[in-house]
Amino acid sequence: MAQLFTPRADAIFRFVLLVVGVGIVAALLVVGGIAHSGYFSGVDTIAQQPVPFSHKHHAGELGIDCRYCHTTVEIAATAGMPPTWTCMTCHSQVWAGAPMLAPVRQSLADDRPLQWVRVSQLPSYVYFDHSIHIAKGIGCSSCHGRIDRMQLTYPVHAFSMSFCLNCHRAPQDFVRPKKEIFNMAWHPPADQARIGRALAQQYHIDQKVGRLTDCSICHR
Amino acid sequence: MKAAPLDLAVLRARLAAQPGRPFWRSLEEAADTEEFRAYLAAEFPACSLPAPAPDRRRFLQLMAASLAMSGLAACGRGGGNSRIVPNVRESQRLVPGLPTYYASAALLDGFANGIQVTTFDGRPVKVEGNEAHPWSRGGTDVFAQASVLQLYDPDRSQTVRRLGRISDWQTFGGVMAGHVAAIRAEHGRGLRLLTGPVTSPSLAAQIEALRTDFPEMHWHVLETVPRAAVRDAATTAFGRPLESIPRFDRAEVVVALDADFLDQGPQQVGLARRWSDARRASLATGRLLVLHAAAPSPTLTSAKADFPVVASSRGMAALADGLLADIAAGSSAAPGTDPASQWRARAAAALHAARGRGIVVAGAAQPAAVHLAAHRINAALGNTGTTVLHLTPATAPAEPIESLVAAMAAGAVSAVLMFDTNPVYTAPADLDFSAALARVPLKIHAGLHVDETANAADWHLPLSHPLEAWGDARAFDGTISMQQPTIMPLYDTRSAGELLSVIFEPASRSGLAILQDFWRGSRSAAAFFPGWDQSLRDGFIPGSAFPAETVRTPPAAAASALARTTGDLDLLIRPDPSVWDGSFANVGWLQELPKPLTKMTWDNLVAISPRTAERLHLDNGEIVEIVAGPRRTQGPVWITPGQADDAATITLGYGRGSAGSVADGVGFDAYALRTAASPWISSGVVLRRHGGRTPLATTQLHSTMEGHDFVRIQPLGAPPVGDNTAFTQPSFYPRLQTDGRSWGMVIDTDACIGCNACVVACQSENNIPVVGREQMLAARGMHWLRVDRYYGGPLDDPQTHFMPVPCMMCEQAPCEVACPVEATVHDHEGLNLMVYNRCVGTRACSGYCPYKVRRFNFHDYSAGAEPSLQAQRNPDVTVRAGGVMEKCTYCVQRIAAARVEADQAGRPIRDGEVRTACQQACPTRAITFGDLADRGSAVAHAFADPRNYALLGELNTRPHTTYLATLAPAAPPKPEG
Amino acid sequence: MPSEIVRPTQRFVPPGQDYDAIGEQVAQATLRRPTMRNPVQRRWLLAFVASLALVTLLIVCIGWLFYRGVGIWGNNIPVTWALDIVAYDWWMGIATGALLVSAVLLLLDQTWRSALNRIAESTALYAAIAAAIYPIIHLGRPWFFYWNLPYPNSLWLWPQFRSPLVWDAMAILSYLAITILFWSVAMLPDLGALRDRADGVWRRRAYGVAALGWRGSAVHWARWQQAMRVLALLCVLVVVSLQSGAAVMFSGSLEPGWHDTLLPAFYLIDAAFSGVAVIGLGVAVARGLLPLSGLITDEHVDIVGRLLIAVGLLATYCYAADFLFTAYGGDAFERATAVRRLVGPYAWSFWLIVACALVPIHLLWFRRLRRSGVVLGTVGLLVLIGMWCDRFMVIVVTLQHDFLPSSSRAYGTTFWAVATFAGSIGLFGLMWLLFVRYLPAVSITELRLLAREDAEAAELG
Repeated sequence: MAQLFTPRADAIFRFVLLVVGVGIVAALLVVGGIAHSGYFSGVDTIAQQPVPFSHKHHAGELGIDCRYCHTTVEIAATAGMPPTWTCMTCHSQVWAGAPMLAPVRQSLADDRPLQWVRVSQLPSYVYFDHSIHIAKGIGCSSCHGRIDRMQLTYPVHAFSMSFCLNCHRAPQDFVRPKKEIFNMAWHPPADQARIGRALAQQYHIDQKVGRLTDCSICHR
Repeated sequence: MKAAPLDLAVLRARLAAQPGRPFWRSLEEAADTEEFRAYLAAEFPACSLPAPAPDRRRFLQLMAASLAMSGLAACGRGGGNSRIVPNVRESQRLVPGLPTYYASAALLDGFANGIQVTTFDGRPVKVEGNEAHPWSRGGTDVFAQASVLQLYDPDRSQTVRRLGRISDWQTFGGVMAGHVAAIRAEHGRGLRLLTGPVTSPSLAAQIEALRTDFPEMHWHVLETVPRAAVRDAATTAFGRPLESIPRFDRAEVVVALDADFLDQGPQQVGLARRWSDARRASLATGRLLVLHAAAPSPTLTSAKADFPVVASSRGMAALADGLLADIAAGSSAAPGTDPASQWRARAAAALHAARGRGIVVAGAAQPAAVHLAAHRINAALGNTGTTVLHLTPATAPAEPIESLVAAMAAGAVSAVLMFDTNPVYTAPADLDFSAALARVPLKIHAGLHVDETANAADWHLPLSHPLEAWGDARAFDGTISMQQPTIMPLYDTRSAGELLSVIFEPASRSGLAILQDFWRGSRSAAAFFPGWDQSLRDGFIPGSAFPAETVRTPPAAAASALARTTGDLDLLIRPDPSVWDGSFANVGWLQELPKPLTKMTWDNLVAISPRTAERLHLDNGEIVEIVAGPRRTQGPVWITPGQADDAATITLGYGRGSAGSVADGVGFDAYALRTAASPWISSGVVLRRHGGRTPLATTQLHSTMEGHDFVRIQPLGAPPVGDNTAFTQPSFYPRLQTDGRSWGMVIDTDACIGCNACVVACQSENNIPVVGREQMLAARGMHWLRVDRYYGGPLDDPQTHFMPVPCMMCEQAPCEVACPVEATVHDHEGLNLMVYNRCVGTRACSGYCPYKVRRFNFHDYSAGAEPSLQAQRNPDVTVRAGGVMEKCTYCVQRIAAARVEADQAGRPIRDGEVRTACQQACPTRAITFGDLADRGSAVAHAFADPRNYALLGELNTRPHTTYLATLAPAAPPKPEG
Repeated sequence: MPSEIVRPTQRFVPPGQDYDAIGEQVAQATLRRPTMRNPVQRRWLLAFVASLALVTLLIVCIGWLFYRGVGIWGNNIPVTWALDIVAYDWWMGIATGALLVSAVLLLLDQTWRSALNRIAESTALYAAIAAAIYPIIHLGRPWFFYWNLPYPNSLWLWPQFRSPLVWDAMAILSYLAITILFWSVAMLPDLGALRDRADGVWRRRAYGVAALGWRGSAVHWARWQQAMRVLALLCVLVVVSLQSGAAVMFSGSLEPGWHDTLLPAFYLIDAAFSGVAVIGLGVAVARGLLPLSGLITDEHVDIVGRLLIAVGLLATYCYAADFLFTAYGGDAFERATAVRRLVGPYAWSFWLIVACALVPIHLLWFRRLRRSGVVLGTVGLLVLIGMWCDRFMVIVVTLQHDFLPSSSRAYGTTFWAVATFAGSIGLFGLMWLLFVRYLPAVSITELRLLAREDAEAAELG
């Protein structure tokens, strides 16, 4: 009777097997890649804000201290967002008529708050506390990047659990001297290994048993 | 969930426009804009405002998003979806996410207990005891704990109603002006005031002022839990109405005649604390403060007695007189063989032995005769004035309701103003209040809910909740407690004081003004305000408790045992330990709270003794018809050990007709059987099998310890029953590595009175959902902390033990071995953590847990809660999703907060700095919590107590929650079962 | 050589069965198009429709389950595991048991197994699939089931390797892999045979691809036999580890009635018990449903019956030992649990074990009964019911009242729990029916082998 398969059938069959195998692996990699891409994490994407506020100008060029606006960063879990009045302290005089600032003036006039689009967001089951990080020598730029160079604000890190653990597992690589905390330009000195350990000591940061990686530190 | 049609932008704006408190007002205004349309459309709006739930829910989510600063961030892609809405003006007082505390007062029957309210971003989320308060001393009861949920009750009355239709205060004011003028012309003739018990000095003063304004006005008070018998007995004995306050600290023997000093009620928090303190102190001296208790129906007081006896209901008066006779005779007549008379002999002997150091106390439920006997015994033994003090009653005197009903029926009443009371539901049935009320031309009712009375009234006015109003009130001992608002009124409501001002004063004053005017009197601002501020900060006025009155020796009249009609059974009517007189009926936490003795939820019962059950061939859950003369009702039977054979007990507060979505249709109405003459008891009652049975959602089916020693008894002088064997067994596992700290808890079973305050406190602190009757029946209750109740000894004369069971925080935790995803693990401070966001819900941990303290979200219980209820949630605790396991965490959020605070200050956490919700709420300080590794800590000392032992320690789980054995007098009262 | 025992005295190949006859019969069973006229095929169609309905029900159940949560089942606190895990353990018992029997017999070179092995292996596979749905759907948050497995993730977290549940997840995955291999490799030569007999080029192509180009050359045969032996060995290993692992899911806890070193052995034996029982049932059904009575002879029925008695007695011993140890153990909680098993609210489960599993096997001591397919099938079914009750007893009786009397609550099941279980049975049935319809239900190859050996034996004798 006639042959069922051509001589090439074997090769084709093997090829198909190969493609399927490789395809599965590739698919997993692609999915993983997309899941961690900026599209989902929001990294490096600039959100449309009611007012095109420039940290570069205010923090960088004018050198206004972070705490002038983010007033509760040292005492509360949240850094705090400035009320309209804080903006108007200057802008009632400076650029008082700038169309760009119309929403701010409007907000004060109608007693309606500005609505900023959240740039860095954590899931509701993560309990992050700014004040303790400041107290333990972690600087703004460690998480928020060179905000003083951002014309418009965007997140530079995906705040995934691995990002947090990165530091919670080795705090000595990131802690700074108290005076450097609000210094955006700070980057670890050559002998950070030594300084960091000393600082961690000084800040009473546990480096032995790994208390910083207890689930209860962030999750309740 | 569909997108909300109401203008969210406007809402969000309004919300954030004002910091903290004020936004709540705008919340309701805003929400109302949407609701009013739907509302006005309704022809006859019956109960509360019909709220389009999805809209309101969406709305609250937005609020949550707006307040994301307070830790309520939504999950999802960074940026884009969620907004930060700062203030327009800086708020001085309020830091987003940081709690603010207010000292205030929680009211029960008008009596105050000192509380401290925790608010986040202007939302009260938790009620704690006020440590400084001289009466309650930091303790709370279930009602104070639950009051915060009552505040957010979505069924609360929100608007003025005229004949059931929506109206407003202006209209009301306008209409009233005319009426008041007419009344004034008649010097107030025909005007009647009906209120609940009033202890508030300022309110009493306002009413006094009214009386001078309207000389012929009458003020009546409806006591749902009457203390008339107490006052009458005192009047007979001492010539004037007085309350008795036992001084346990000076006593060695307490004889309780159906006493209620440990039971739910205005006296509970203060007296329970004084009791447990004295008991501890007496242990130190080696002469244990012993409690003899006789009760026809089991109470928390009789449950804690060293020598309890089930006394026949009819025999109580005789028993009291007999005791008096024994004391008078100087020795007891040859005791009979029945338990009661043996008890009587023992009690009499003990009282003799402790002349001047004994206390005889009777409960409010007992007739004046029993109280009188108690007074005489105390006088005879020289206890009066030393161990038993007599104080002026805190409640302002007023006329009883009977005269009001008579007047109304006679048509002599032209206008009746009722507030803080719900007479149509709570008035004794034989008065037929509603019929009489119908004859009154002008009926005004003010209350928290559009309740039965509101529906019968011409005007209903929404009353402010104590947590949102200014006020003052006296504690049981007279201590004046200040009540300040912790939030702007959620709705357009008025406090009782403001209400009187609105109606009768030419220019209505604010609650604050009323209060300040009263307390300031004629003093200058400089003289007044310092003290005023101080009293607000403290929450009370120091030294304002009533001084002890010196009283005469009660005249030795012939003992007057009540003449009783013989009948089948006595029917004892008591306030409910969970919903009290019904005023808390619509609070889910309390409906779902297992009652201390029956462990019953979502129902009230007809409690009968085992023998009665045999006699009538009744079984648990069977419906019986209770026939009390002309009145009858039906309810499910519950066989209750410790119940007298000649009495059945029912509790008030159920069978509500118009209380709200939670309470309506739950249980049966006990008021239907109440008579004005004898509100606590009616004789000659017959129980008939009505056929059918209801499934009852009890949380504990087995009541004996099955031969084990879960609760251990430590007789005085006997070798210690405690041991640390649980911590000395060998183990293959390495000992837990802790970073210095090792949190632990020690629970004193001797101090625990089973009052449930801890259970509600836990529910309130940890966002524990209410699952409803069906789920409770399916054994899916979510309480992280349960109070186990065990019976020992004979069925008809049992010993009762309470054992609070939170998570044991085992060092070698079986649950941790079970979990495949490390959702439950140990941290380095000895805590057994539960990481909700990691849990996949295999439920293996619960199966492995020998204590079964883990709870599972079989459905998404927290979803779909009314938005206003969501506002109560603690922002520091994750709201658990469906399919997730949860359990007691030792209030890890409080530990975390303390850790942050201590770390910032660069110091260790101080002993006592972290207090768990249950510990804080406990009126008897039965719970000690702290760092076991710290030798000096209170918990370490308690752990070292010879009474200390571990539950199921032999399993080598090394629990960090341990127990102190219950104390017993040298001769153990009964063999343990 | 154990095979000596059964040959040549017994003839497992009825007279007149030669190569072509065997091939023809099996092929007939699979290749013929189903019609209502033919009684065999009518039965098949009815059964097929029935299982299809049950599978639909299963899909509805799972949909509702994912929407509402596991609360739709009767599970509660303390009975957190109930029908879900009962069904899972039961199915796994059947699957592993069937596979164990088939593999062991192959390793022991029991050639008479040839008529049964395919039924055993298929049952092993389909029962495992029916079981495998439970570990996922019983989760509170099933969409996170993969957290049970080690994979690189941005949480920097691994599963908790002390947990028996992790090992169970891995065990069942490896079990599925190995079973699928064993089952499909075993079928290669037969697929080849079917390819040659099938009519229509596409069917032949399909069988051809499935046969992976089997040509029956000497090399093929040699490698094939090698592979089969290796796989059989792997099967035995995975079965032992899986069942002992499943047992450790209970004995790893402290719970009375679970915390017991006997349990792993107990579980393995119970598995073998259900395995032999299900083979017995399968044999009966195959003889009833397919025109294969010519190939599955009374001798086969007889030998399965003997096996059933043997494992049944082993199981009986385990139950006795369990109670004995508990009685002597002296632990009050263990004793209380044992008593509850005998007289507690769920005592029916224990007494059903006795009535359905431990007693009926003794019918098979009688030769006439033993050689009846109907009797064997009935007893097999009863044993399966008994084994289900065993799982129920072990899980529910312990959970509903462990240590503290206060945490003792009753368990009541719901429609959805039962429906889900019924659905899993439907799923099993559906796969089984499709299998007998489109794949060789008994091994042509091995029967032919057997026929030849038999013929030789005849010539010698």
